[in-house]
Formats: sequence, C-alpha cells, structure tokens
Amino acid sequence: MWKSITRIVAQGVANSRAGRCEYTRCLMRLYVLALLAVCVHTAVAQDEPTTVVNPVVADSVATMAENVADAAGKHEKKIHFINGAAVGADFVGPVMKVLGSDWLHMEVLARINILDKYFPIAELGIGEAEREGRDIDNHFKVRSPYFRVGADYNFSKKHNGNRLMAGLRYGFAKYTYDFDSPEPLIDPYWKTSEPFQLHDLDGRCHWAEVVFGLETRLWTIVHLGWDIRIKFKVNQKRSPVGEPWYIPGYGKTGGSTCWGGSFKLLFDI
Amino acid sequence: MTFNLLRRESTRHLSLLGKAWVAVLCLLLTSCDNVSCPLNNKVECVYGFYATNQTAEEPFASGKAVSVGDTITITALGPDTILANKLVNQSGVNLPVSFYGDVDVLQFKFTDLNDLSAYDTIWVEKKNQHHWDDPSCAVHVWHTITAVHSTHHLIDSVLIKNREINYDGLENIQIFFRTSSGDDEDDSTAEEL
Repeated sequence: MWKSITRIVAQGVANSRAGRCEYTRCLMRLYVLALLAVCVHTAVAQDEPTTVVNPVVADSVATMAENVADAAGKHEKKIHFINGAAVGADFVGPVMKVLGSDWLHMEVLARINILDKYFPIAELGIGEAEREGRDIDNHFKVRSPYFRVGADYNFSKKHNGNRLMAGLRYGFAKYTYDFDSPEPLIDPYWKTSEPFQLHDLDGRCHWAEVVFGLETRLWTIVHLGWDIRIKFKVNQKRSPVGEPWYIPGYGKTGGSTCWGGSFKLLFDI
Repeated sequence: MTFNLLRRESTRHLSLLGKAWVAVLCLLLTSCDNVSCPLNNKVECVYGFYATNQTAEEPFASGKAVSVGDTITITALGPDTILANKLVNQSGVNLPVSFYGDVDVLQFKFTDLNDLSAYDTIWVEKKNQHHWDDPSCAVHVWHTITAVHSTHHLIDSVLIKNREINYDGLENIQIFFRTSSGDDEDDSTAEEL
C-alpha cells in the first residue's frame, strides 16, 4: 500500500513539473487548514489515542511533499520591483469585543509589495473603550481614530505567498476621553460636595511598535496573517487629572510598553 | 488515503507553528486584567516645624527642624472641625485639605505646661483638581498651593516647600517658630489663660 501511495505522490510531482499541480494547491490549503485546525487538534489530541505512522514511510512522504513545494517554487511568477499592493482588515478587535473585552478597535490597512521583501504599510483604525470600575461604579470612556505607518520585511526565501515577517511601526492617536463618578465627592471635614464628572479631556500619544508575524496565501489573492507586536510609548500628553485607561491604537495604559497583536485578512489588488 | 497522509504530515511539520499560534492566541485571550490602585492614597498637606535662626546678616537663613513641646490643637475655621487634637512633641503634622475651598484657614492653638495658650492662624491658598488612577480606584482631589501666610505670635514665618499636594508625602509647608522673645504683631490673637 505504501508503495502505491509513494507512486501516486511521485506522479503528482511529475504533473507539477509539467504545469500547475493540484497537489501543490492542495498542500497550500492543507497548510492553512492545519494552521487553523491545529488549535482544536492540539487540545483534543491529548485525549485521543495517538496514531503511529511508520517513520520510514512518513519521511518518504515528507520528502515528496517538499519536492512538490520545490516544484511549485520553480513555477513562481517573476518578481517585479513594485510587485503589487494589498488591502485588508484586522479581526482581533471585534473578536475580543464578542469575547467580553472592554475595548474594541476596527482597523483597515494598505500596503505595497516591493520585490516581495519589503512591505511599506499604513494602518488606519478607530478604537473605543468603555470601562466600569470593578467595585466602584466609575466610568471611563474613549473613542478616537488612530493611524500607524511602517514597513515589514519578509524573511522567506520563496515567493509563494507564505511569509515570515518582521517590521516596525510608528503610531499616533489624538483623542478625548471622559471619566464619571456616579456619586458626588464629599469632603468629610469641610462637609462640601461636588460632582466628579470630567468630559472631553484631551490627550495624544506617539508610540513605536516592533512586529513579528506569519502570513499565508489562502487562495489566489487572499492572504491570512497574524502578528504579535510590542509597543513602546514615545511621547504622551494627557490631562493632569488622570491617565486614560485605554489609548486607541496603543492599548491599555499602565506602563511604557504594551503587547498587542492582529489577525488579518488581506486581498491583493 | 494519500490526502490523509499528506494532511497528517502537514500537521506534523506545522505542529511547532501551531503550538506557537495557540500560545499567542491564549496570550491574547487571557491577557491580564490587573488593577494597580496606589496603596498610599492619602491626600494630605505635610507641615514641618522649624526653629528660625535668621539674623540681620542672614534674614532668609533656613532653620533646623524642631520638636514643639507645647500641646498643639489645630482647627479648620469655617466648619470648625478639629483636624489635630493635643499633639505633643511633634516635629510636623499631616493635615487634610478642603476638597473645593480656595483658601483653608487653620487655627493653631499652642498650650504650654502652665496651661497658657497662644493662637496663630495660617491661610493656605490653593487650586483644586480632580484626580483618578483607574476606574476601579477611588477618586481624589489634588491641590496646588498658590500662597500661604500666617499671624506671628509663635510662628515667625511660613514657607512653601512643595506646591503639589498629592500622594507623594513630601513636605509642603515649613513653619518657622520664634526662638527668642520679640515684639508681637498687631494682628495678635494671643491669649493667656
């Protein structure tokens, strides 16, 4: 049986050398599906009996698969200086909001592909947050647009749409925020009170980001990617009455650094 | 069968990548939600007591810290609230500040061992500003001292050391007491019992 499998795969390799190959596209799709399914697979696999694959046969199949990928590489299209552009959107914000987060951001991006190595990128989004105190009914609110510009570098040698990326961003947001306390603040000694309601407090923030991410081609013009990014506050102007709990585009405050990430769908144009 | 094997192999090769992806996803989904309210959140004006040693040659020389042996009782005039009662051997005192008043008027009553009392009054002019740290933390009012002055029975002079009254606990106002007898000012409120 293993010989017949090997023969079938080898035939696939031969076909791929002749032109476009079903196995190549299949492998790419499996790559993406495995990436998405492995989350569930990894969790479930601990309870499932392990299927043992003959290592010799597995290695031979793996070698064949690599050959298929190599064959696909030989048929990559020619790389131009301006190799295209893409637009896309990030889904982390809406997903986190659905999962119960206090903040939401919606972001679109556009980028240019230079030599399939350099990707100047612009990201534009709107971020908002509403936060209630845990034991106190204080209420914080912010909603504002933000933008980032920067570039990614593709470390992958192959030009098949699968990319290992690292990059830098400069981010900026100018925002106004509100802070309300439902009860007036009572002076216990002088017996006076005033409402604690502060609206339209001005703030702005400049920050830098270091980005690491992966990206794969789903179909002809469709890419799926994710990244993690660490953000460094460069400069911040805030109202003296208090720091905003959340800065649109940057994230939750509380220190000079912040972690974030994105899960994005891109379309080549 | 072939596709199953390919899928299995793809999954095997991607297992490391997949685990990294799961780790990142978990990191994003389970990000910490900690609240960092300051432990020391008392907003008080810190007064320090000093003995003046200014001379004709050095009229603005600073004094050294002293411990006042008399009993001190401090009252906020207006609400007539006692802020500090019968302090003894103190070298300073922390007093609350009105949240919304422009001027706090504080009466210092000094009583010695012979039960003789003297009074001085200090006016602290200030600006008030709301402050918060986190929606889950209590809100406060911070202050900025703009001016301070006093009567001069036992108090020689008062100086602003730090204008900002907040959580940091730094000394805000220095009170210099007379160390030798001299002519009292006309606005005397001294009282002998």
